[in-house]
Amino acid sequence: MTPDQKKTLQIYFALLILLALTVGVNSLHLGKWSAPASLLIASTKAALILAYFMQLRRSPVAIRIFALGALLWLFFMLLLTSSDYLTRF
Amino acid sequence: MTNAENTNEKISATLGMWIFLGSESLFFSGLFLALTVYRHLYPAAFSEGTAHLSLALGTTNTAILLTSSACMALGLQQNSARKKRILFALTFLLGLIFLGLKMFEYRQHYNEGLFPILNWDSGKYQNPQIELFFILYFIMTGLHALHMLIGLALILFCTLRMKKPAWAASHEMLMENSGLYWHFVDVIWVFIFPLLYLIGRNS
Repeated sequence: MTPDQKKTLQIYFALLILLALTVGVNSLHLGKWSAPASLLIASTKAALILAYFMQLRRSPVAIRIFALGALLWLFFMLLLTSSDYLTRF
Repeated sequence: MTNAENTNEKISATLGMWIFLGSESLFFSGLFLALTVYRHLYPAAFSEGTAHLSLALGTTNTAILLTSSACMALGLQQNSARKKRILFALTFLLGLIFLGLKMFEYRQHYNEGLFPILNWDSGKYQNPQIELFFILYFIMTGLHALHMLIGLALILFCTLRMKKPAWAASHEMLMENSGLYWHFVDVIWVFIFPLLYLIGRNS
């Protein structure tokens, strides 16, 4: 097995552990912290898949910029919308 | 990824795929945002909706999809054509199992009167806005399933064709981009799972 394949398996196990973690954490009755905790774990999983399975960590800079560009627009959309709804009382 | 040189052609094919995936992510995120806003506005109804979903089925399906993504990543790292083909077939099979379980879940919702429009038992629930939750649930998981079908078609095509070494040699980018697409569908599910199945379950 090459080091790359070994790394892929390690990332796979990390993803399964994170899945167990997110289900476990949500059984703790966290109330309003359930959403941030779940989304933090989901983002970690997504980052692992993007960096290792989708090879972003080895991609040329141009490709990384385009991937990050999508995240930037996403961030604007989420930030501006939630700054409205989350601040209504 | 093989150790082939990063030629301009290869970079532009990958770049095009990432631009496509970027626009796809905005498309799905609009739905994620709609769900989050409505969950914020009607927390009780959306918690009731989440409680009607099976955590066991959702978790199993997440694990299956993560496994199929790992198979795809391993498949693209193989130098042996035979191993590559076996891992592609395995990826395809796991994707099929995911969709099978999803259909089983849909059938359960239908039988329980949780299927808006087709079979909706409105007298059964405490909060009327739960219908909104299930409409968003079906749109999000349905669109995800549609993407899975497209991904499965691509993977099946590659699996059948890569038997011929000449085809495999000239279609490396198609296999790489099918892999990117499959991982992307996995990432979408990684967010759908907590948003629909987890958040609000124990609040």
